[in-house]
Order: sequence, then C-alpha cells, then structure tokens
Amino acid sequence: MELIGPYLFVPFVVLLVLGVPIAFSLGLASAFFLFFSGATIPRIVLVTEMYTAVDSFALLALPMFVLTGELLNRCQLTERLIDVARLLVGWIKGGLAHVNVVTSMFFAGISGSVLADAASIGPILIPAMIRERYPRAFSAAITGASAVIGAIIPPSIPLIIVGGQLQISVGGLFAAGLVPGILVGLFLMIVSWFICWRNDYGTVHRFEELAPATGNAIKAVPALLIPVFILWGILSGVFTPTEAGAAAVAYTIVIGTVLYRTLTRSKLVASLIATARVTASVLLILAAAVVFSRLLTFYRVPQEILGMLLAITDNRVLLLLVIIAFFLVVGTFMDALANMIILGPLLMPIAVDGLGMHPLQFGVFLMVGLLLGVLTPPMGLVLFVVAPVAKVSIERLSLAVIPFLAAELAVLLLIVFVPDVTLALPRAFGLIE
Amino acid sequence: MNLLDRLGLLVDGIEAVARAAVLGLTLVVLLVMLAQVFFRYVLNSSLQWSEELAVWGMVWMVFVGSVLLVRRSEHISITTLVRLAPLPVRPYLVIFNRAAGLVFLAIVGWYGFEVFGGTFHAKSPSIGLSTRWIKLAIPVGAVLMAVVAVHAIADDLRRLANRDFASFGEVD
Repeated sequence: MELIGPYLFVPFVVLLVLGVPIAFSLGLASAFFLFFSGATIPRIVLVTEMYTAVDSFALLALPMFVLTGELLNRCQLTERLIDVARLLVGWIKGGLAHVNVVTSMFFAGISGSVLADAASIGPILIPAMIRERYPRAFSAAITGASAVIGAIIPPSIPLIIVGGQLQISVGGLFAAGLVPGILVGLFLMIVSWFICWRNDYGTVHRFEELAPATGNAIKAVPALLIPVFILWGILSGVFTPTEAGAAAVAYTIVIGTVLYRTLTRSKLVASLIATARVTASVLLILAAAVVFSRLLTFYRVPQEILGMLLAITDNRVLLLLVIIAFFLVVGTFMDALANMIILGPLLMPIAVDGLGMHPLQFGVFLMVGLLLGVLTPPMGLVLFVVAPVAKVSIERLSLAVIPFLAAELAVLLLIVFVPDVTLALPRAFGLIE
Repeated sequence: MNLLDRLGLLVDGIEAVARAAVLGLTLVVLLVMLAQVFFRYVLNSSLQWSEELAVWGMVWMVFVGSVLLVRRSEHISITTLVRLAPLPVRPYLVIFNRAAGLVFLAIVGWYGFEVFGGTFHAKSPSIGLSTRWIKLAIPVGAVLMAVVAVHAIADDLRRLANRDFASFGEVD
C-alpha cells in the first residue's frame, strides 16, 4: 500500500481530474509506478498485459451487439416499437410514461447501451408527452430513468465487459440481468402511475383510440423477435453470446434491407465504422485498466481494503451498504463503464470471497450500482442527453428524476440482499448449480 | 506550405487509412463470426480457426480504431475541470492533457516494438501464426495516435499564440 498509494493511485487521480482520457490516465499512472517505485516488475508488462486484456473471445460479443444496435437505430425502428408499447400500456393512467418505459425495455432487448436508448426514444416521446400535458421535467426524467434499463436487460454491453474482464460467463450474466431489468421497468411504471394519478398528468386514451395503430405495430414484430431469439439461444446454451450477436447482426441486415427497406449501403458503412469507434474507446480503457488492476492485485490491495473494512465492522449488511454508497458516489463522478472496468477487479475478491456473493450476482450489482450515476449530476450523461430535448434545466430535471432514482435504488437493494433476484433464472436454466 | 500544414496532411492521410482499415477489420470480424455460426449450426462441422481470426481482427480494430478518436479528444475522459476552467486557463489544460496522453503513447510505442522484436511469442493454437503479429497492433496504433496528438498539440499552440481562446470552448 505504501508503494501503490503515492506511485500509482495519486498520479492516476490527478491525471483523471485534470481531464486526461481515462485510458491514458490508467496507463500513464501504471507506467509511472513501473518506472519510479523501485518495483522489479519488467516494464514490458505495460504492453503484454494490454494485449492479454483484449485477446478474448468473450469480448467479441461487444462489437456484435454494438453493431446490431447501430444498424437498428439507422433502420428508424423506434416509432414502430413505440406503437407496440402504446397498444400494450398506452391506455393506463400516465399512458405515455408507461409507453416510454416499455419502449425502453424493447430497445434494451436489442441494443445494450443506455445513451443509444435515451437518444433514440427521447426526441420522439418527449415532445409527444409534452403535447399530452405531461410536465417537461417529468417527461425528460422518465425517459432518462427508463434508458438505464437498456444496459440491464440482455444483451448488455456493460455485462459483456464485466464478464470478459472478470472471467464470469457472459451468458450467465445476461440471464442474471433479465429479472432485475424487468423489475426496474415495473417499478418505474408503478412510480409514474402514482405520480400521474396524484397530479393528474397526461391525457388518458381508451384502448379503442389506440387500436388503429395495430397495423404499424405488427411491422415491429420481426425486430422484437431479436431479443426473444437472443435470450432463447443464450438461456438454452445453444449459442455463445458472441454467436448470438453475430446472428442478430445478420438478421438485422436482412430485415433492414428486405422488410423495412431503410438500410442502405452507406448506412451499413456508417454502422461498421461507428462500431469500431465505440469498441475502440471502451476496449482501450479495458486494456489500460488491466495493467493497472494487475498491479493492484499483485500488491494485494483488495485484501488490504477488505481488512480495513472488516476492522470497521464485521456486519455483512452494513459492509454491503457501504459498498452501495461508494458505488453511488463514484458513479456520479465517472463514466459507468470505466468505473466498472477499474473497480470490478478490485471489489470482486471483497464481495465474492469476503462477503459471499455469487459472481453473477456481483456482476449485476457492480453494473447497476455504478449505472445509477448516469442519472445524477454532475456526470449524469443521460440527463445531458434528455434535458435539451425537453428544454428543461439540469437542476429541475435532477429534482424530477429523484422518485425514479429511488425506484431503481430499491431494485439495487433487492439485487444485493435477495440473491434469487439475479440467480433464480440462471439456476432454472442450468447455467449455474 | 509550413510544417504544421504538412503534418496536417499526414494526419488526414493517417485518418483516412485508419478509417478504411477499421471498416475492413469490422467487416472481417463479422463475416468470420457468421461463418462460424453457419458451419457450426447449419453444416454441423465447427471451424477451427474462426475464433482466433476474429479476435485478432478485434485487437487490430481496437488499436487502429483508437486513432480516429484522438483528434477531437473523443477518448472518454472527465471533462468537468476543463469545462469549469476560466477561458484563458483552458488551453493550457487541454494541451497538458494531450501531452500526458502523448507521453503514454510514446512509452507504449517504444516497449511495444521491443515486445514485437522479442523472441518469446507463443504460436496461436489453431492457425499457428506467431502472436507477435497481433501484439504489433499496439505499437502501430500508439505511434499513429502519437502523430495525430503531436499535430493536435501543434495546432493548439498555434491557436494559443493567436490568443484564439474561444476555439478551446468545444471540449467534448
């Protein structure tokens, strides 16, 4: 610890706060440690560990699912998914709020990214909600809060990273994330129903008014088969997540060109390049973080932290609450994916070996805990995506998002303290014993 | 034509090549994975080489793709301090951050080629190619990123010399 602190941790935090890209901050701090701490570790580990980090078949699922999402975004499918959601939940009090949540859940089953979700649903549903007398801040808040589901319901880009890095089965993580993702959706709908009922927000539609959209909604069914197919393939163990991703890309290209006729060659090229850019930005952080976290584990930092925590209290519930609070705090200051990459290897020994958490449960906990930071200022990326669409200030939006944040926090507590929320489904399908 | 302009042309060239390369690499990764799925589930005979080839494609895609994110500082970072900094201070912060990245890239380039030139590379199990050709992606990517970063810093310094603080406003 006396070496790690001044030679690794301090330079990292200084570089990070100054605004050096996260990947370079991690790498430069690791290099600083190797050069100046007097440690006898060969310096070439900087390069060899970066290579080891990315040389992984499990991580190949990342470009596949990013590509599926990019293609579907360019197929202009969002409106059709919204039509389906309207038929399902549009007639309940607070109709468009529920439509917003359900569309996010559909989206989540196809793409694995929070920002893509908010960016494609927001511009269509937020103006529609404002027209139907929902307050601007409320409309933006539910859009942002439901976008979080995008990363929880499989396929999930953060869970691919968590699994690839920590050697946890990605298929198992996907299965473990399904129930929490659906719970987040349900909780958000209950909270928005209550808010709309109490304040009399929004126009109520009878089902008959919505029925004419059925024809349009049916056209969305082929796209909605993608999540069904991915889940079936992974739960039954027929496909690896990477193979499911490749199949999803092929299917998307087919329905995009033949059925929807919205996918052109230039859109395909743009999707491929966008995929490479996203993959590069995430995996470069992972590559640099692996060097960094190897140093941490080599000097047994996780064990030291666990020892320090246990010195404060040996109450398991209290320790878990401390970790939750820590996640929420760091989640507000840094990008969720980068946080997962840096904190995962550090906290996994603590949570799994020290506190008896199942690795699948830990993976979902890590992700959801750090993800909630996208909804809180100052880093709340999702807030910055939806606020301009609704023309509402970040301050008012941050207040409006609080009840939804509380609902998501409740799911986080369930994930941590009720193992069956994450583990029942993987167990039922024989993915774990 | 001055040196900065020439460097600018070089960077334009690097980015054009990198864009074409990642387009090809992403396509190869996709096609190889599709071939694997097709052989395994339709023809019932697994390909031996597909996973290795796809992973190599991805490794190269990551380090070449990273080159495209350097010029406009699109590598993920915490921009809070840069955004809060007073306008006259901001250029120095932006330049420092780029320079810190450049130092790291130089180190990675140096040791990356040392690793490439070393003699301890495993052969990949099914294709049998030396893994040095995959590791080569790291120093190649680092050097290309470094060239883009040098140009960006030179351009920043020129705008700073012209007291063009406003152009440092767009940090995202």
